[in-house]
Amino acid sequence: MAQSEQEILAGVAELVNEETGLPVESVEMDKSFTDDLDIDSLSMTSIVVQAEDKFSVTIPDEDTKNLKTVRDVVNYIQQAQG
Amino acid sequence: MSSSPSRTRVLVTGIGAVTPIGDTAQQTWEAALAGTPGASTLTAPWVEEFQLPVTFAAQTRTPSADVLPKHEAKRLDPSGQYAVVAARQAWADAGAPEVDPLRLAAVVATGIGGVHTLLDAYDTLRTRGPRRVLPMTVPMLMPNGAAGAVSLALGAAAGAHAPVSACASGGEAVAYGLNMIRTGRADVAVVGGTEAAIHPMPLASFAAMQALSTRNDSPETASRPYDTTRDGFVMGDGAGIMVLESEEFARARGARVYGEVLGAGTSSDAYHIAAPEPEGAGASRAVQEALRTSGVSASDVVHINAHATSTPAGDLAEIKALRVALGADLDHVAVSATKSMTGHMLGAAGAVESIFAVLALHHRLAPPTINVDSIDPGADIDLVLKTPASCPRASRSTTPSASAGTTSRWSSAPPAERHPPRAAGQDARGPLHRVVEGPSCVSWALPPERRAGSAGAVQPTRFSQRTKLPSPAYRNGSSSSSQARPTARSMPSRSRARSSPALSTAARSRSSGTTALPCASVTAWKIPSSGVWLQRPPSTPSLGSSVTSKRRCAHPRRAEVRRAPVPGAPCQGTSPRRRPGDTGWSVQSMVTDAPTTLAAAHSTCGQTARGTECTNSTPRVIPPDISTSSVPRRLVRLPQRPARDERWCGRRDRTEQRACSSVMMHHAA
Repeated sequence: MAQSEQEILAGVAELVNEETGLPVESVEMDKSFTDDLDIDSLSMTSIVVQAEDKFSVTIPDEDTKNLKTVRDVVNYIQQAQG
Repeated sequence: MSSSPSRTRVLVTGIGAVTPIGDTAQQTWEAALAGTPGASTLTAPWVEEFQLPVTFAAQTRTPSADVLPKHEAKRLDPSGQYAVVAARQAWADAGAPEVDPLRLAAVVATGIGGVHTLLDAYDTLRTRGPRRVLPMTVPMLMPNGAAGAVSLALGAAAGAHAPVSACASGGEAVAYGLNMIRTGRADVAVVGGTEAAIHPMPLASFAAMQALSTRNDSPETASRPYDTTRDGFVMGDGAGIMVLESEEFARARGARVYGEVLGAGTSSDAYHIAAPEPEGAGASRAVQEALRTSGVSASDVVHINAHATSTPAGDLAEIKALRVALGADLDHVAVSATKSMTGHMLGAAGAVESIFAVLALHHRLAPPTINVDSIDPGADIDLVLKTPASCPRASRSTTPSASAGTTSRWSSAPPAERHPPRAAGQDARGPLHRVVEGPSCVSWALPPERRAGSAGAVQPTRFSQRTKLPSPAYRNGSSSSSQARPTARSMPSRSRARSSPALSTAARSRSSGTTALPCASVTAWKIPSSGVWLQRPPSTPSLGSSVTSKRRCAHPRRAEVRRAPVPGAPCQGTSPRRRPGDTGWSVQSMVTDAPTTLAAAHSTCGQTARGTECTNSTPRVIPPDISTSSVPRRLVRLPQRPARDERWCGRRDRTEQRACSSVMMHHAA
């Protein structure tokens, strides 16, 4: 079941909020997880694992390191769902 | 412990607690005075699922996960959550000290660690595979996870330590923090213990040891230390945290002081991993060590908060240990067993009971022991029952806990009042009244220069000369734990009649095979004065002080000022540590009934040739004085004559069996 970009963004923002306490609205498409949102690797791993459950996709470890921005994650999930 | 310990005075300036009977230290204290039972029937589905033999425990009233921000709670085991919540309470209670992170330490003990996280993660591993095991699992489950969390929460960079010694852990944490300050590693130490082990696996294990009470039909009466029908301890959750700081640092910042830690003793039985040495040898050594390092004698002790877990063998071994350590002086010590209310909080027990000990001295009230219908004949002690006992004099009290063996000792009596005739308590009125009404106790606890004007109300003292900042370098004493042990006194004959059942049951009780946790700790504390503030001059009567400092406001501070419910202190967030000894202190009695802050607090900074200088009017939160606000007056009013049930508040010891640590405290009045 494919979700819209906005739906996935909202879902990712929710995960980021739960993991780090960052406000949902701060999670924007072009933000970098490390440079803009200051999310460490441990939190990033948790977010990816929870995203797999939330969006019913699989994100292999070798792909995780390429997910630099929120857009990267949203696009990856969208393609995986598609 | 050094044979010639540094005389650096270490003061208690903040307390915080999350316990089965209160969400804060104050709530816990009030509930303890009221004799509130903390245990209840467990409603978790796993009780039914596993058909546990024990279906109750003393759980915290409010889950810490409901108190902390969700993202923070998610990264902490419940034991870490309790520790962080209690630490923030203590930090706020201390007035959110401005301290160089490199001079701030965190020592948070636990008995078991993150057992919830560990077992949940193992379930995840088995059912969903390794990729679903979250990366924070190990940092959450490790025994030092809570210490690390507190270190992060407060910005403590001088060290984050986690003593692990079963039931003595909490007392050892106090001792560790005491030593860190005395050896120059830190100016301020946030110390205490935490535990979150109410989980089916530890419950099953303790039940298998036959260490737990099985009064499933009456949880609130299951924890009954020294009662003839006691059948084991009740597991408890929660945390207790205190802020300790050196006298110099406390003086420089004008801290309010609950008491002083005098010394500590630790030992181990080397007897059995769980059962106590029947004669309490290890625990008694911890108490004696606490006495020795505190520089006080057994006759100074007026109250003991016993470890008293409610196990058949453990409680009696503790009594024997106390008898060996204190001899006939034990007869004149009021003993409280607060586990009758909180249950056994394992690694947090020593810390929470240290808080009880400090507050008992502070408020001159010994908490009651509930659920004792008939005292075990072997417990030849003056147990405080049902209602709190007034503490007539400032004095020392000891809190031995019996597992890993820590003993705390507290003191609050003026030297002249340390050795009053006590045979029948008939002399209690004199010193007792002086404590309440007069300054004699105040002068006793304070440095000589502040004893002037001892008549009438305590006068604030101005210290115009600055003292030099003590060197932070190690001030080591040589280690010689074997020296100068006090000579054990012979067992005294019973000097007063007891209403307990026939002595013929004593032998049977003592031969009980029920195991107890290997814990014993005693810590000695010294409380400078009840309700006394150490203020920087020039002082403003009663609240806060107006100070012109030359502190440079440029050093970023990591401690979470914003989280503390304290009005913004001057230079918050950008202040360097205060320099201990910059200014003197003064003393005045605290008279307040409710938390109060100075509304007109302000801070102005400007550039000068010497850098940024600030003029501050320091806001200060004054926690309500529990003894005068929440507690009914009748509980604190001194008796016309010490009655049978209104005994002297003297020593408080809690003792467990194995590892023992002891902390001595002093209450300067």
